[in-house]
Amino acid sequence: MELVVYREKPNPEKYSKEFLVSLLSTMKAERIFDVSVIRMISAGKIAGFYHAGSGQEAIAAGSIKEVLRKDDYLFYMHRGCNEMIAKGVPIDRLYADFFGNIYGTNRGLGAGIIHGADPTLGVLGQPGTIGSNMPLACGVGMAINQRKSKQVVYATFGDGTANRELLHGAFNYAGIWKLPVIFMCQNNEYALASKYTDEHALADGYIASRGLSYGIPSYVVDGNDVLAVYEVSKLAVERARNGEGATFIEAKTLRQNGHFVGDPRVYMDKERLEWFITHNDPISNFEKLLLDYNIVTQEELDELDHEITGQNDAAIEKADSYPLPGEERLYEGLYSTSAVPQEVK
Amino acid sequence: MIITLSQAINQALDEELAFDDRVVLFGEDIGVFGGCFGVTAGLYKKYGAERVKDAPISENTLVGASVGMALGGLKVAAELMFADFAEIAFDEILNKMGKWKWMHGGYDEFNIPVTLRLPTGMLGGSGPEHSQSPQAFFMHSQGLYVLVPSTPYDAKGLLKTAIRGNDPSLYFEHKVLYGLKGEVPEEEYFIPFGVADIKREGTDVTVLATSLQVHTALAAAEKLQAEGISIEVFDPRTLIPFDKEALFRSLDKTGRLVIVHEEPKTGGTGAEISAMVAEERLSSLKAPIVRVGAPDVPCPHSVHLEQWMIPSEERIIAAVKKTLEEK
Repeated sequence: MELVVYREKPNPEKYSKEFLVSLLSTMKAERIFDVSVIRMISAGKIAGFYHAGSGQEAIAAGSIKEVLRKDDYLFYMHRGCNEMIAKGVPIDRLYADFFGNIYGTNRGLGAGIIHGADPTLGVLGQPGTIGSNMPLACGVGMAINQRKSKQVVYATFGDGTANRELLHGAFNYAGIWKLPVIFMCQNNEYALASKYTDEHALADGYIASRGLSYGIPSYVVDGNDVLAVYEVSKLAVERARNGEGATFIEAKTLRQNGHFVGDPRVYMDKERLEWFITHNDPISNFEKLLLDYNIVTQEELDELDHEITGQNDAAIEKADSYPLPGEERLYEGLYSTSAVPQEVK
Repeated sequence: MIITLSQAINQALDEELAFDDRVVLFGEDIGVFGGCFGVTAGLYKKYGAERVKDAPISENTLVGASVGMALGGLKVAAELMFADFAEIAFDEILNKMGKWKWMHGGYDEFNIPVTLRLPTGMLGGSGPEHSQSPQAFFMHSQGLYVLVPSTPYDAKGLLKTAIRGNDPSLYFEHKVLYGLKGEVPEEEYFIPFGVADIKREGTDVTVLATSLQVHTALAAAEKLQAEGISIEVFDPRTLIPFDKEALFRSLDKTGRLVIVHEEPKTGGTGAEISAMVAEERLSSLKAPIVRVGAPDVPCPHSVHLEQWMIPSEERIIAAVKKTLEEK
């Protein structure tokens, strides 16, 4: 078994305009959400330890939006809300999580370190102790295999998390039992302030190669190319659905923001970061590609921006209109027999 | 019927596997081998590898995957080979089993029906990492039930309630008790959580004991009876939830409390129970509470040294007499 470094530069003409615009819209919705949350934190409107996801939109959009079914499962990661948005979680409810009010997906428990969820979309959540979602993903995969339901589980994490011991346990499970799990490592090069090349022992420079020793097909893909991410992810999901087991994907990108809002980023190479933002932004790149192939016009892009900005503003406004929970919320939903919070429309 | 505690657990697992297709057993060497202590013997043959599943050695992954199976719609009765190994999987037990449902909004879909069986306690020189009774760590947790059966009857009834329910439970089964025989009804029964059992009625001193120590306390009570001292042996059976009202009723009667457990005394479950009594029932007490636990040192491998770790009848008798000094 060999590592596959996916070097295709997919031609967008293979795809329908509707499909391409869907990916672009998803990325734009992810970006504007991230920017809005940072703006509101900076303005003191919301509090919380927020880990921005800008620059990593193509990974979530490419591997989830047009790949996963509604009944497939998602364990998202701590950086931004990209994966939840790509899976279709309503953004007004995600904003309400940040406002900490009862309209939020977790019904008033708040966000920052995000614990949003949507059982109707298979969005199962995120652990605050990063990486502990991987055994959970395997467990869901075991349940799927037992139920023979042909669903898949998508679990994503960062390069830093790839050093957690749990990765070994999870890969071992996935390898032994051919679990329908897609492990997506978003390698944005930094675990808080530490560069991955300093903290990972890698035989060939790739985190993805760690999957091979468990018999898990492993890929490296340009995480800033939404179509490349899509093509690799589609292969992975098809394998999982066909009972062929797990796939490990390392999507390479660069974190555009600090680890947290206000992080001075003294540890980052400023020139490289600047180059990424101006020359290798996943959204700008994709827009340029679609313009170059005459698939969309600048007017259509402007129209799309206008539409998404409007939706985003409306979502914030709606989210902000709900009340905070009362003290009783602390005690709701701890046990199956505890009172559970009411659904809010 | 008279069966051992090990057979009682096996029956509970067997009945729940038969009752609900969603129930699976998961643990290291629990399949063909029947478990390190033989508790799951015969179930692999009866239900097959899909329902009685062997796990690799990786306790944190084992517990995390059990939580995942629950999220995926199964009900899991998992076994860690030794209760000590719960310490390996501390994050998975505390933060995943206990909190996943709550922290993601409390949705019914996120119920975590995982029962973790934990062979507990000192047995023949198992040493510092295979002899512990780590219940107290988890009495400090949220969202978990903590169960400490002492007889075959309690073992079966509590385990069936745990598996039939929809919440995570930690089930501490003392290794010395596996061979203990006791009466278990032929017909199906369940024991609700949070209902203590008075194992022996008495009027002078309440001895609250858990797990194996219930039996040491009963033996001590028998000896004290000969001296004219009447002991009430109080078995809470579950630590979360804890049957406070029953304990307070007993204390209203006796006014004296000795707490016995095999855990080290400092920060053991007895510490929390003592605090609870001090806060809410100090007025009932005629004498200070006395706790009997293991000394605050690791459990040695030497069986010779181990004998001084385990609470004995003599130490319980001395503790009872100490509470009676105060008139």
